Amino acid sequence: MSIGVAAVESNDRLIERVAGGDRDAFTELYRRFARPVLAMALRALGDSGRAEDATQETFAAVWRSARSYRSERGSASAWLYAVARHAIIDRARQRREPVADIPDEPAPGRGPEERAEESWLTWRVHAALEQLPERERIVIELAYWSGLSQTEIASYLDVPLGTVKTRTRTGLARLAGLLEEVRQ
Amino acid sequence: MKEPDNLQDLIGEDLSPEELARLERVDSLLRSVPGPPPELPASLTRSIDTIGLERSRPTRRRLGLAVAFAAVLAAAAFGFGRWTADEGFDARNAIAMQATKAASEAAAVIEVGERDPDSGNWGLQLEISGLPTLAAGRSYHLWLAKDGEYAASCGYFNVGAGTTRVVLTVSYRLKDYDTWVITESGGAKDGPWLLKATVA
Repeated sequence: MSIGVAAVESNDRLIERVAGGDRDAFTELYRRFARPVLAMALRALGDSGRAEDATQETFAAVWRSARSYRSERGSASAWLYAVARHAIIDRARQRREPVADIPDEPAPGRGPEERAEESWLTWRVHAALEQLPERERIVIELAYWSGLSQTEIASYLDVPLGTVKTRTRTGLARLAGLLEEVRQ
Repeated sequence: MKEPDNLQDLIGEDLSPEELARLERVDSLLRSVPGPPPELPASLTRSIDTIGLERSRPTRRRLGLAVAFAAVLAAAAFGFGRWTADEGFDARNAIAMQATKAASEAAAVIEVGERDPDSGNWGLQLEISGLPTLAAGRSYHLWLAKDGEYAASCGYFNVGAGTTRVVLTVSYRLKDYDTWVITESGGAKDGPWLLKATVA
């Protein structure tokens, strides 16, 4: 089975439009990246209020700094990751508290490079999830992170078990395409 | 929390070895990372909506009214499914409305109920706060809009102090519209949009 990814405007192009003051493009970037940013902030700051503040600051920085983005220097996703990382570290420093997930100091068992790699991997997986159709994203999130069985998911969503399996399979196939570079 | 089912339980067993190997790699990736957060808090989305529009952005904390509605969304965890709200309203989904600059302190959630199979009517429950109480003879107006134009009236209401709950019934096919809008009713010409939300 091969599942294609519907043609959508690239993240590069969206940032270019944001640089020109296009709010629709900004809204679309927010839709694609807000949950990955919030997830990273929650892991790093451990507090939902501060994580929301850091996420807000991230997107304010995206709005202000979109003109500084240069696609030849790296992917749009990587640029957004860097903007988010800076915003989260700034938020953490305001209270002089250590950042839990984004490495700036060695931790027992895992060096900063390993933790940086894990954080970047998580970012890419979360960003890819946001590109799935909602019906597929929902069943995958429930299957992997809710603790529910497929039967329980079917009951929760009030859809047949076969539909849950089909959506899961289709979503995973789509993710395989989106995450191709991660596995190489 | 319980481990996810194994891959073949998740997707069935009728895959080619190549496709199975491809999905196993994704399965392994997903198992190696923490899950994303639940749906975005309404307070965050509202604060983002103001970026670039105002000289001074309101902070998340200044948007305190929205916290109650964010809690509603958080309770929904993944933002879908059905649950029984207060006073027995059986909602299929909830949509957090975004305040416009014309009503920056307002917040609202529309809960869309089951469609009555006989009549085709939908029940709606609107929970709203942060709008001023209007004088007698004036009212707020919930619309369905399409392409930026008012398209279907969903009813009129007024608000009191705190949170006001309004139950409405409409017969429209929601997929024919793209935006929920609340205005102050102005007879033939309503006032500016006060709150809006995308039709889910």
